[in-house]
Amino acid sequence: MTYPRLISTPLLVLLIAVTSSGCFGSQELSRVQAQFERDHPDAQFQRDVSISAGPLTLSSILQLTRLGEVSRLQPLVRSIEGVKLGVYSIEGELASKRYTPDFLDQLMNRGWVITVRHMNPPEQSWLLYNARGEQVRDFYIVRLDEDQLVVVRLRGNMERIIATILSENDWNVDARALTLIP
Amino acid sequence: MKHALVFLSLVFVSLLVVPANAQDVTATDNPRVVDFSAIDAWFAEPPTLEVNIDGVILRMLSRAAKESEPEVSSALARMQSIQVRSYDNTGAELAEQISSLSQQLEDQGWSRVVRVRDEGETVDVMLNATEDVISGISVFVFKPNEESVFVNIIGEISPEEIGRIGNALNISPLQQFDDYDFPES
Repeated sequence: MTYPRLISTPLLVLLIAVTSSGCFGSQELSRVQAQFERDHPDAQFQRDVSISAGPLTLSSILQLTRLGEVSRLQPLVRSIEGVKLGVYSIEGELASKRYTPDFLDQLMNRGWVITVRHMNPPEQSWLLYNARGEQVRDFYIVRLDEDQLVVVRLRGNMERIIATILSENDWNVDARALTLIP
Repeated sequence: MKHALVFLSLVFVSLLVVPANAQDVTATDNPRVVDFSAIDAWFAEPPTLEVNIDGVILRMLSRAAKESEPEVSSALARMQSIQVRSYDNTGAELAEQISSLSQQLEDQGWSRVVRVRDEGETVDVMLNATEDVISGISVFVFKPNEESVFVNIIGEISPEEIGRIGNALNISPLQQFDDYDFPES
């Protein structure tokens, strides 16, 4: 039986592409990395990508995406208010335990809701959202497998983001995996 | 015939002997909601997959799918919650516990519309209906030495929509019902 992938490769590429002009470090991502290093003492997490982009960077990207093929990404980029992305390659052995990292528990204590939890070590993933009234404003997606840790925090108009992904037929299954959200 | 007799015997025994750790899985305010914490207690390990879609996120998904997936959007709009749990199988008494769970739901007014027993694998589909409108569906799948899957969907939904929702939302335990032939009755 296969389970929903919480983040697809095309999406990762997209996120990297649309935010690479505004790269800078993020304390939040560093804390997340430190947490996983504590949870998995026999594994080393090497940061490959660390991106944090806010409205300013994203508006620059909007300009870039006016041209050619990528213009169809405009509605998606316009719906995103901020994105943080961390991609880490993993060396060594992950602890073989099903668990939810403390920082996600802390988010839940602050009102975040966990909607998908897939725990089949070494592959584990978690999807949380945060809502204000009827608007889902933030997603937190964490995916861990034996080779890679991916952490994504996405802020924006989630309804429009998901509607855009669903309407893009050629994104098809992988993109839908993000919507599930699972 | 032999399997049927064994199964009937098990059902009979389960009616007489309630397992010591069997809790009321409908012990919630809403009798259509299965209390998954009671099921959690059957297993030493947490579920391998846990999906909880309700409230704000369910309504948002319905609105987001309105243009591209109108049928799915409509089905989601009629739902109140989707819960899925998948566990690695442990415990010899698991089949009996699941049978007991189905019986508890029947006692609460649910109807069992599908019961499959095939080489140790079991599938139960339960419906909760009020005035000819289906208001809840529960599906329990037990595959010996593989996994157990529990699904509880609250809202107006037909069994045929389970697979469609699974495909739209990419939830594989629900996707397996896409080509399932549910009895028309």
